[in-house]
Amino acid sequence: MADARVTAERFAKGMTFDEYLRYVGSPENLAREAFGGVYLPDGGAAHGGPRKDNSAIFRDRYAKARLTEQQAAAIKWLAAQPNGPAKILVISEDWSSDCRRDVPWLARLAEAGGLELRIFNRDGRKVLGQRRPDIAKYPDSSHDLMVQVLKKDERGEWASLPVAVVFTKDMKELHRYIEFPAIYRKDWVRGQQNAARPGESADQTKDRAAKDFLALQASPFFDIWASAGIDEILSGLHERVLGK
Amino acid sequence: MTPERFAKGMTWDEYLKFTGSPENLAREGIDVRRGMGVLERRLDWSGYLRDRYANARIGAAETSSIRWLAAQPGGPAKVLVICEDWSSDVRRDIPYLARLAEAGGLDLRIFPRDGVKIVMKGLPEPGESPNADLMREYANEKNGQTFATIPVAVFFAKDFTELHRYVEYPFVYRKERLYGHHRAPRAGESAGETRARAGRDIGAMFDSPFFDVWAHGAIAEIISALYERLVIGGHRG
Repeated sequence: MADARVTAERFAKGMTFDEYLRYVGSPENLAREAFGGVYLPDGGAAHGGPRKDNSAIFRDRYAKARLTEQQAAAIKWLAAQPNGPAKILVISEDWSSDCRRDVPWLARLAEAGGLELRIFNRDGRKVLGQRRPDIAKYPDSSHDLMVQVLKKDERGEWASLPVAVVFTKDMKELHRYIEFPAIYRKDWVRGQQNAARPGESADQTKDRAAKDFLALQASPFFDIWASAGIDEILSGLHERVLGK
Repeated sequence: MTPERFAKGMTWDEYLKFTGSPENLAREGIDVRRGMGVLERRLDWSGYLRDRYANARIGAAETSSIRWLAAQPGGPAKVLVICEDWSSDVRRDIPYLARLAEAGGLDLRIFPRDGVKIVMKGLPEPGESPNADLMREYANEKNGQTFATIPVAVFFAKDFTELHRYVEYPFVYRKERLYGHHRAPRAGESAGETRARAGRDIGAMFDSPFFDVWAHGAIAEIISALYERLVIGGHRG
C-alpha cells in the first residue's frame, strides 16, 4: 500500500472491532446494498441486493475464535521487534463469507499482539459494480484505499475482500493478506459445488450449491482456514521482520 | 502398501523409545545447526520429541474436522510416516501428526528412512535399507527429479486407498528462503563466523513459536486437502 495514502489520521478514522460489531447490525449498514449474487465478467457485481444482518455471526465467531498459544506468542514476539507490526487496517463487507471467516480472527490476532485494528467498509451505499474501485464514482466508499490493495493474478486484478494490511507504528507496510489463505482453494471448491450433478435441473443445482456452501461455512473447516490465514500472516511478518 | 507391511511400522510410543535407543543412536545423523556434515553417531532427540509431543495441541476445529473426516465413507484411517529424527522438519511435524492421529482415531505407523548410513542424494537403492522400498514408493518429485524428502505422511483409507500425501514442510514455511537468509554472510563475518552465527540463528528459529506455527500450518494443510478429497471429490493439484 502506498504509504502516503494511509496516514495515521486516515487510519484512525476506521472502526475498532467493537464499533464494527455494532455497526454491522445498525440501520445505517443494513440500508446499504449488499452483493447481489452475480458477478459481472469484469469482476464487479451485476447488481446490489438487500443486506442481511450478519452481526450475530460475527459476534459468535469472535466469541469462539481462539489463537493457538504459539500464534499468540509469535505475534507478541513480532510486535516487540524494532519496526514490528503495530497496526492492522482491514477492508471488509459483512456480506462476504471470507470477511465473516477472517475478521473475527484478525481481531483476536490484534488483541494478542497489542496491535491497533481499524476496519473500513469497502463500499458506500452502492455495491461496487465494476472491477476497479473508483472513488469519483462512489464518493461515499473507501475505494481510495481499496484501489491500492487489489488482488492480482493471471486473470487480472479486482477488489477482493477481506484485505488486512499490517503496518509498523509509523505506517510502513509490512504485509498484506487478501481474501483467503492459500490452502483454501476456494475458487476450485466453489466451482465443484456449483457444478451440476447428474439429473439436477439448473434451479436444483443452484439450491443445492447454495446449501453446500452454507454447510461449509458452518463446518469446522471454516475455522481451519481462518486459523491458516493467521499462520500465513504470522509467517509473512516473520520473514519481513527478519529482513526478507 | 499392504496391511502386513503397514503393521510393521512403529507406533508413536515405540518410535519415541526407538529414538533414544542404542540401535538408533549408532546410526549416522546430521545436525543442521552445525551444517550438513554427516555425524558418525546421531544426537539423542528423544527428550526433545517427548517435550514437543507433550506441548503439541490440536485445536477444537482440527479435532472436529479430523473426526468428521474419519467418520466419512472412505475417510482417513491410517497414516504412514517416513522420517529420521535428525531432520528438523521431522522434529517439527511428527509430534503434531501423532496428535492428529490420536484426535481422529487413526492408526499411525512410523518407518525410519535410512539404514545405518544416511541417504545423502537422490533415492536409496532397493534393498539398501529396510524401508528403501517405501521411500522409493513415496519419493518427492520436484522439478523433474526425485528426492528422499522427509517427513512423508501418507493418509490412507481403511482399504489403503491413498487420500493425501504431505511432504517435508507446509506452504507457509518458506524454508529455502529463510535458510538462505540465515546462511548469508553478514558484513565483516569470516566464513567460520557465518557458519557459527547461521547455526545459532537456525537453532533459535527451531526454538521460537514460529516452529509450532508452521507445524500447525501443516495440520491445516493436511485437513484441508483431505476435505477436498473426500467432500469435494478431487485431488489437490
